Amino acid sequence: MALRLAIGHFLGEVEGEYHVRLGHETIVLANDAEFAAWVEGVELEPDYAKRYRLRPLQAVLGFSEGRYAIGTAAGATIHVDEFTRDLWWWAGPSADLESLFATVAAARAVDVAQVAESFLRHAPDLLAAGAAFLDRSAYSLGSR
Amino acid sequence: MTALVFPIGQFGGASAVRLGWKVWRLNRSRLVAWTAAHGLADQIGRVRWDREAAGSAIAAAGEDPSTLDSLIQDGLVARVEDPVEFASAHRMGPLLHGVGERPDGAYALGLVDRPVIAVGGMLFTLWAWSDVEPDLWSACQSLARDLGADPLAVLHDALEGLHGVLATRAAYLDVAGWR
Repeated sequence: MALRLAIGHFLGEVEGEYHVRLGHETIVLANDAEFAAWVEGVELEPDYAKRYRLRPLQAVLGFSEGRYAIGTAAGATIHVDEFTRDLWWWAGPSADLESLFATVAAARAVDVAQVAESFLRHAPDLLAAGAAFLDRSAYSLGSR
Repeated sequence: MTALVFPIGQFGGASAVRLGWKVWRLNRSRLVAWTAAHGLADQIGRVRWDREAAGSAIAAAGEDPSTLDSLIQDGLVARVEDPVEFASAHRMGPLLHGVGERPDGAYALGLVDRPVIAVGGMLFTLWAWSDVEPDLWSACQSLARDLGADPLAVLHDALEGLHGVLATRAAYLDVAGWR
């Protein structure tokens, strides 16, 4: 079964509706059912690495026993290995997943395919912890 | 009025800060100074975070306040002499989700059901759309167009409120123009 991931930055609840920023658009989710469907996500297309970019959320709080704690002032929400930390960290300046994978592959001297595989394995946990979100890349970004 | 100071870059753990595509490894003194430039969460809205305020926080942590100067030289801290020049050269990235509008009209940022900070409507809008703007000045101009406001006034208010979201790690600043 293909991986499903939520796309967009959750902006919060306003008067009973949930707002999500997706590229230059705001998506309004009118009720809990629509919110749940958004969280469940969309099936990633074969060209997903060109269509989306990863945006890091929260902050690195510490490092111990080979794992980075990522979280907020209230505490850690997820602990990740250095490979996943690199995906999270280099997502900031990367225009899309394709360039993120290439950057991490070069930094760690591994194949791009290995980075992509790691992303697909760890992205659900990063998104579930609120430690990252996926957004449209410039390739699929609408104009404001 | 004294110039505000802002930290630039995203912390990656193990004393490393990513600034655009470059990673800087900071010794303890420089890491303390860079962290102090964020402001202190318990002083948000009460203390104007200029070089003197940041210097006091650095000294309180047992380090030399003049360390800030080397960070300014390296671009890891910005001292805002010209607001438009600063805002054109830097961008903001959100680091939290939104939680929602509060009864007092402020907007909570955090994780679902776990608010970290509340900000006013203008700063919330800048924060929410910052990821699709090339730089902070463009973001202020876009918002000013939507509000029918003076972009310089929007920028002024943004800079005065920015330490609130930086000190609570609700956002970070990075160099613009690396895309």
